[in-house]
Amino acid sequence: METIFWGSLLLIAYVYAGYPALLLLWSRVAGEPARRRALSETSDWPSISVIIAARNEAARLPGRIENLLEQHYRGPLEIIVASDGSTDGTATVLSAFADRIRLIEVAPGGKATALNAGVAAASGEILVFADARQRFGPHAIAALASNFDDPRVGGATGELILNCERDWADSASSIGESVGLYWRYEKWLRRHESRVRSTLGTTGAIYALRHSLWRPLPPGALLDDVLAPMRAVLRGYRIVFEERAQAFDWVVPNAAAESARKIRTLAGNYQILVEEPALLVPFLNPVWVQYVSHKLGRLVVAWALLGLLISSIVLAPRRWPFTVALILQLGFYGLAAFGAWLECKGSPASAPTSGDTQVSQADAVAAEGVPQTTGGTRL
Amino acid sequence: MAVNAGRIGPARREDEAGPMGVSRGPVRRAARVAYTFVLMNYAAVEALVRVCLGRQVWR
Repeated sequence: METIFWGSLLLIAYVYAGYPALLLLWSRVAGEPARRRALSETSDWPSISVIIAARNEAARLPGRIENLLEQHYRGPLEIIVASDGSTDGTATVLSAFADRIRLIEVAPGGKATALNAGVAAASGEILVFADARQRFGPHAIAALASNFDDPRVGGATGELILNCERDWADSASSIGESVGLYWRYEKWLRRHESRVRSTLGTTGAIYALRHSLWRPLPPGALLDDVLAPMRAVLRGYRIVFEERAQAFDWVVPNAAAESARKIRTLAGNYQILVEEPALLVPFLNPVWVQYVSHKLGRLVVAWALLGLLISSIVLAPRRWPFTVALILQLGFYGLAAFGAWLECKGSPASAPTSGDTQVSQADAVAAEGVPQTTGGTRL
Repeated sequence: MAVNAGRIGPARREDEAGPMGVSRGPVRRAARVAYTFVLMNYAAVEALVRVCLGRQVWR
């Protein structure tokens, strides 16, 4: 039982503190930034295909398309909307943009199927993936594309900025502060993983991939933004974190929505292990240490938390360090239970959920972020 | 959604209330962070159960 206690404690400490410390040291000793071109360069920008997979996003898409059409990009750029069996008049709404975008309508089959159809229709050298809800900063696509002069770079992920990162009290979310903290921590890891060699995936709201590296996704794939880039990593390419490519979004309104999002993400991580088992093999996965520490670590830390609690209960009567550990954990879980009660009591019943509201919110966040972005200030 | 002194979001009151009347007291803030930490970590358990049982995890 003591082995379970110490093993669990070490695992939790490594995942949340040891690995970031290792990464920091690693990036300082052996970090290697990707070569990227200046955004002011005028010639030879690669052709870009922006792909949006959408189902029933008629309310959001016009604003989204306008946002993409306002991009400051000097190379050829096409926009493809892959409509996944939409029944809300998406085609009618997008007819206003008929001369500037391509609409691919596919039978309802999920996001992965829609993305496959969108990529099949794409002609750009670089694929840029986006969702209907978020908004890009004005130089986002150029910033992503600037990394592809480096032949080692297979993909680039932008930085998704949530409104709660600046001021959680303005986020209209009951868990804005917690999610903001987590998201900043997660982006710190990605930034440093990028410097060491490669991030372990991308942000679905804003990422780019070489067209030549795309392989069709399995129809039920939950995390295209991890599977597609990790396939490139397995082929020896880097995925870099590009802070100048910014997308803006609104944090989820409450804990239930965050829980659903997290369950989907973590289920997707289990799914990817089945899809690409090479990720678990050290000599096949160039970022094996990072993958095991970050992605697998997140999958097993819950079990370690359980192991720590159960072993502490068993060992507490025997020696005082275990008693202290148990008291600390009970205090922590008591605090969490209080947080759950607060959530039940004060969860925003009128949280922003409608398409129109979220469109205006994302526009507002993007508009607020743009001056700071162009001014070179990190939000 | 109100615009308040250049901010986007619900109008701020001058007291310690946050969004939706959530208090910003340190204990309550810590409680919410602890709750979210537990929620996010134990999501891995639920995700595994759902994957194993073949249950839908989205939508």
